[in-house]
Amino acid sequence: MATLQTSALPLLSIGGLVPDLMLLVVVSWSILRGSRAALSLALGGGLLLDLLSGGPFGAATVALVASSLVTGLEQLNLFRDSLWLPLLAGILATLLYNGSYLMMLTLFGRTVAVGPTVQQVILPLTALNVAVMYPVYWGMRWLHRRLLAVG
Amino acid sequence: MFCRAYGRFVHTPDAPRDSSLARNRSLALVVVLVAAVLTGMALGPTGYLRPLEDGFFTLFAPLQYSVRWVSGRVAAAVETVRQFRTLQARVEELEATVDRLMIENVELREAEIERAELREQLEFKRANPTYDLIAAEVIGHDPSSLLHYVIIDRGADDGLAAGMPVVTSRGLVGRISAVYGQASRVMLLTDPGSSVNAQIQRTRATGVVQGQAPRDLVMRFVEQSEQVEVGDIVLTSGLGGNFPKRLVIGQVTSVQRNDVQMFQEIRVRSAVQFDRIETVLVVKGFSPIDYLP
Repeated sequence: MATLQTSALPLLSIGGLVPDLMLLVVVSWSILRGSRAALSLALGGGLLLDLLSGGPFGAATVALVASSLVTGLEQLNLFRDSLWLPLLAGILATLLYNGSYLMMLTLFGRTVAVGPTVQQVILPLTALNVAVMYPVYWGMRWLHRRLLAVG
Repeated sequence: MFCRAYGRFVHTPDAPRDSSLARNRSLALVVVLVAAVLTGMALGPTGYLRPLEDGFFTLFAPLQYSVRWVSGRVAAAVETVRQFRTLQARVEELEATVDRLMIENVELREAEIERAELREQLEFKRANPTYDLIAAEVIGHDPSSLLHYVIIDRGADDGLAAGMPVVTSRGLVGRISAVYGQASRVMLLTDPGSSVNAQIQRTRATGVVQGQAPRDLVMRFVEQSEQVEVGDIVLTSGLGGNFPKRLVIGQVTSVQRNDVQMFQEIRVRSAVQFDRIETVLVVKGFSPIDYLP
């Protein structure tokens, strides 16, 4: 997943933006199985992203864990078959993840222009993530049901 | 009815009258036909048979035409079915040829693009003979859209070190921020944490080019008194010792002057397409002064 996001997806970038595939997978798993089940995925995935990223080590992990904890709330699980859930989860997860990441960058002393970053990067990225969230969520839901049937 | 028909051919003592009548009829028919043939043979050469022939063909020609027309269509359909399989095989063969040629075309185009890139790099190297350059391929990008880094396939094993500038034939790309055994991470110019001491080629006005979201370059700390125009070339100044002098950064696209501000804000566009870079050159022979990643 991390390799796909760093080596393959950039070739299909739109306006220089690449969907946060690892985030979408973790969030989908969190919705379907709860935040505890998704925690190890968030930690492992975050670790890989931090190793591949030029940002402060741990920033991606913290942001990913925070997103999975919030989206894994029991109240959201009730609507896991709703068509609106991927849309809402995509928006919430993207804003949480990138907002946390931005905060971590600032805490570690990186110079970031918050206004232009939110307006010209995070908001368009939210739309892109929502579009990709649907196939990712349906794929993960299929996997979840298969595992339930086998287990 | 079967008995009557059967009776015509079988003599039974119980029906002598029927059998003789049938025989007489048959004999009469034979005689008439033979006479007709003999008459035809006699009259044929003289031309007296012509009206009969005309009348015959008047009646039979349309029938012949119709039968011929239907037969022609049936024969054409049979021929089409027979040719169909041959044509199908030919179409499959041609489709396979087209697929093969398309793949070859794509490979040739890729080879041409690679050749053009390598030629540009070679020309850059020839134009800058003092630089010790090593080519590298971009193998990954930063997973976060908030940061602008790439990973290249050269590292410490190839003699690279942190702080070394990275360029392409089109201009400055960034610098190496971290080195591993066989890979390195490069901070691009457009990263918010990037800053390069620069100067306007025409006026020699100095400033600092910094990365700004989403993927812009902004030259700051240029005094209001400096005359900067759209189209001016921006180069590295070499000040601070972080980059070699006179590496092309880009071209001025807009100038913002404000009387209440101390400095102008200048937007710069690089000729490098940062999200499409495939190969880069690392300036190996340059050691930055006090580089802190």
